Amino acid sequence: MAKIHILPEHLANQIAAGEVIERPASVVKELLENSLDAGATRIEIEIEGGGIRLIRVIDNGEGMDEDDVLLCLERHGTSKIREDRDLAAIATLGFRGEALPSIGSVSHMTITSRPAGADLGTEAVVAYGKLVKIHAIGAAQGTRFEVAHLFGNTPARRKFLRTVRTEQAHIEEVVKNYALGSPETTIVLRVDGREILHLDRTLSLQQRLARLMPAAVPLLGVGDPDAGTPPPRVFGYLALPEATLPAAARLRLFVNGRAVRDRMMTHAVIEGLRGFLMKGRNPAGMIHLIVAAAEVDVNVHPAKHEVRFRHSRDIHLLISEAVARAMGHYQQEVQGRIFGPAQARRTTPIPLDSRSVAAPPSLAAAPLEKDDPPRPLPRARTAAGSDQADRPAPPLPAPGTYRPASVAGGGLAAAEPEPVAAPDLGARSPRQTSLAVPDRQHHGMQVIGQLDDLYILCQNDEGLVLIDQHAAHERLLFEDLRRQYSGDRIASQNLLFPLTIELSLFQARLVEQHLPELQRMGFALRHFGGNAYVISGVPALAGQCPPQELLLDMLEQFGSESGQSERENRIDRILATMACRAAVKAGARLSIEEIEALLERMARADLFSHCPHGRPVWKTISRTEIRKWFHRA
Amino acid sequence: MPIHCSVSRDILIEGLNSLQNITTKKSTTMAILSNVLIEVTREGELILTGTDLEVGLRLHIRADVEEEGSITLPSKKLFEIVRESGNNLITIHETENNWVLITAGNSTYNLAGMASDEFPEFPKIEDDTFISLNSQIFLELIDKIIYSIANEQENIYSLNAVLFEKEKREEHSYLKMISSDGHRLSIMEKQVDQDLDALTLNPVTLIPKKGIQEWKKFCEGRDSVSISFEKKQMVLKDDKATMVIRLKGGEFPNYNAIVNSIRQENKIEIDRIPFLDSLKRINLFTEDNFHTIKISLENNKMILSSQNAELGNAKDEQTISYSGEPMVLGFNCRYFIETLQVMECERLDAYINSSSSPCMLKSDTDSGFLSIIMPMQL
Repeated sequence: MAKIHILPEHLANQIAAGEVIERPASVVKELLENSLDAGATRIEIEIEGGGIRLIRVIDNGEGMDEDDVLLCLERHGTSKIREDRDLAAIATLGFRGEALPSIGSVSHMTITSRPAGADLGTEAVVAYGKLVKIHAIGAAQGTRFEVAHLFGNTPARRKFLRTVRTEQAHIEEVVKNYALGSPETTIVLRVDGREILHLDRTLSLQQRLARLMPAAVPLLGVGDPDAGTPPPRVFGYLALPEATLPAAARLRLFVNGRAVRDRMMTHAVIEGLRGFLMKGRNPAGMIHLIVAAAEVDVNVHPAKHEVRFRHSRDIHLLISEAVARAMGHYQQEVQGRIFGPAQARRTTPIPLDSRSVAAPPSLAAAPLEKDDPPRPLPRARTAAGSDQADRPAPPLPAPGTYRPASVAGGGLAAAEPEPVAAPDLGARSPRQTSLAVPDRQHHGMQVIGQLDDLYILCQNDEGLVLIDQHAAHERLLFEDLRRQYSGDRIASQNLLFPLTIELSLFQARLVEQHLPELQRMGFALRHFGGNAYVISGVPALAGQCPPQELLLDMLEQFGSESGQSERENRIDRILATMACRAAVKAGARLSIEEIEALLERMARADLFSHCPHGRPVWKTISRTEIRKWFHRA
Repeated sequence: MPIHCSVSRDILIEGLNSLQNITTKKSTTMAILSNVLIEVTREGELILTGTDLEVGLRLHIRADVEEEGSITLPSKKLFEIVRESGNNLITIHETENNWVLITAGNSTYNLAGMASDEFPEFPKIEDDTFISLNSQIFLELIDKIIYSIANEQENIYSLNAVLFEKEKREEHSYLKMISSDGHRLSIMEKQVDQDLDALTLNPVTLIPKKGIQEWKKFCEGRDSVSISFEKKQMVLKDDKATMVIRLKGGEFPNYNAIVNSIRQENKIEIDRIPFLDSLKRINLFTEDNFHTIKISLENNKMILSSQNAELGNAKDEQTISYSGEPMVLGFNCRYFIETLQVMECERLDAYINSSSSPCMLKSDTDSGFLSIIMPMQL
């Protein structure tokens, strides 16, 4: 007798169920997908006993007639794909034709369904893989699934289930994911008869997300959900990086409405937030990716948690750019809020000192080369090093944000002798006349003073604004450095007294390895025998911070390179270290002029809201809030 | 001993004023340092003392003494009281528990003081070989080099201090001050008539920046100042005041080696004021934190230019006397501006040999002064 035989159908289904139906949440997921694929605009989910006792999903989708009801219980019975080329471009959530037979094989399942136009519906009852009965019945249009006694026939699987609460949480998570993936469907979730979630289809995606976030978190809109633009496109909402997030907040990713887990996409979001997200913190919110069905393979995992992209680098770039662009817009918005509208900032008359009429506006406007964009786009560098030359250029900043080169007000303020970089102005020779023509109102804030020699206190229309002077300056310097670095090299100041530095063998090897990069960063280094090097030039920006310490800091960054962390990332890290070193320190008392100059620069900068390590630079306390403290409602 | 005395407002305010900079140093861990020590002696003298442990100043003022004693009072508050008082006679009278009653005409103030025994002792002056010099000499020395003292903490060199030297050449005596922030260096030298042999300097005499500032203030408003150096401190005084400045330890780089290394061949003659004006114009378009300018030299022409990513660029041309090879150099504009601002000549000589070697500035009509600026690599 042959040792090998074909498994009976119900056993095969049970085995498939082992893959697809892991826990009650998987049942909810499969049923929800079916409802959504059926075009339902309202789905109600009811669970009891963590979904083990009962899962009921009622939709108002297109429904099934008797034949369909029977076929859907067959393994590989599906309406979603027909031939092999459909598999390459799956537009529906489900397609495998495995879910229902699998669920049916491990539970008591009742299907009640009536398609539009039919007078009567069909009800089929399946018990652990066996069709118990099928008959006509009066029913509302749509389909209603009841799954009871889940895993009643597979005690092993049942034993692996966690507590009712845990299973319930998993179900909630699934429902939330689909609620965000399909915002045009009303979704109701009842647990043990109690309604715990009701998301009406009239809610916007943002409102939905806000409801699902564990706490009120300010959201940053990413991309444009406008269905008019052809795929691929990205949209969504992210919690602002400075928001204090509850532990439960997480990043949800959707591809064509399907909730997925994808490290590449998560990475792309983090990449887009680079320089704004603090170390050790994760982004939260949701990102929807709409791509042509043929661009993505969802047939990777039976539960379809994972996807594969045909052009994953493009997708990565698309997402990270969208997020970076959103951050750039956010900067402008915040700038408007803190420093007043760009318009007001721009129309300030140009104070011209008769002695300093050196650069007539025509000269000032002349230098930009024709084909250069007027201002470097925030984060335009993310495009660098990609193979995506044919990608349409990212849109220029909104019209209100371009400040023409002839706005000399800032330039005059900038001409003040190194107001920020050298906080100690006390020693300035009395003969030195200030070149600045200060324009106090330029940035639209009124300086109150300094707290703990670290925070600048100002007031604006909104209320009290606190600015971390070190973080603020650090970001500005960082952007300067990055601009210089990407241009050619960072200006290097030759030292009068070259310094010899004795390095460890490891450090010396790092210098050897990275010498061209160190030079581009503004270091002039010469080998001095053994592991000794002579520093004869330092990054000009570093001012007078001790050159040896600066070099050792840089080397540490080169040395701490982890795994395949990209080169650009490393450069940013190093430039951030340099900026941190050169920035005005916490504990430095600033004069009003220095504070004004700093604010002035912030008001003009592309990026300013976070220091390059992701710490927020500013915080506003509204008048309303302050009034509340003092019961002046 | 409860203090009790009367003193002229004008004299007192002058004394307190000169102490403000020393006593109002922020964030001291010793609260008493923001107080001024007041001692009244039987001889009809009121002595004001302030110190931040780096610089100490002691002033002798005439007063009508009722009762001798000592107390310390908050320096700033006392100064403000005296400044705002309309009356020309101020009476200071300690009542009890370090409370001091200050009377000025119809106004009375009760000011809480602190006992004087916690006030740091004024440094003893051991060396009494003082040399009296015209204070103008010191003012000129200081003014010419104070701008290039380093601000930041030190590296291997103590650049946040001024090197003070004396020299004897061909029977003439000279005093010299040298400062550098590592990117530029300035040297000022003045000939003095007095014999300086009695002035005992350390091999490396370093005066901290704060001390230099106070030294300068001490000289302002005095015609002549007596000076003496000890191992760890220097003393400035006249008959009414004594200032003790703690010297810094550490190394100063061998500036002579640098000066001597600069070949004085490739000379450029520039008119100072037009050059300075040109630099100020160009500085309008430098990047905020770098102040980078480009200097192009060609046949009797110097072109200054700067570029700012946000604003645009600027260019300025100067006629100079130069016949060497064409050169393009990068510099921190502010270094030039600051040097040119302290120079007093009409025309200056610059020696530049290459885009990476030091540039020396001096002038025959600005004797004793020399400045070296290191270029930048752009």
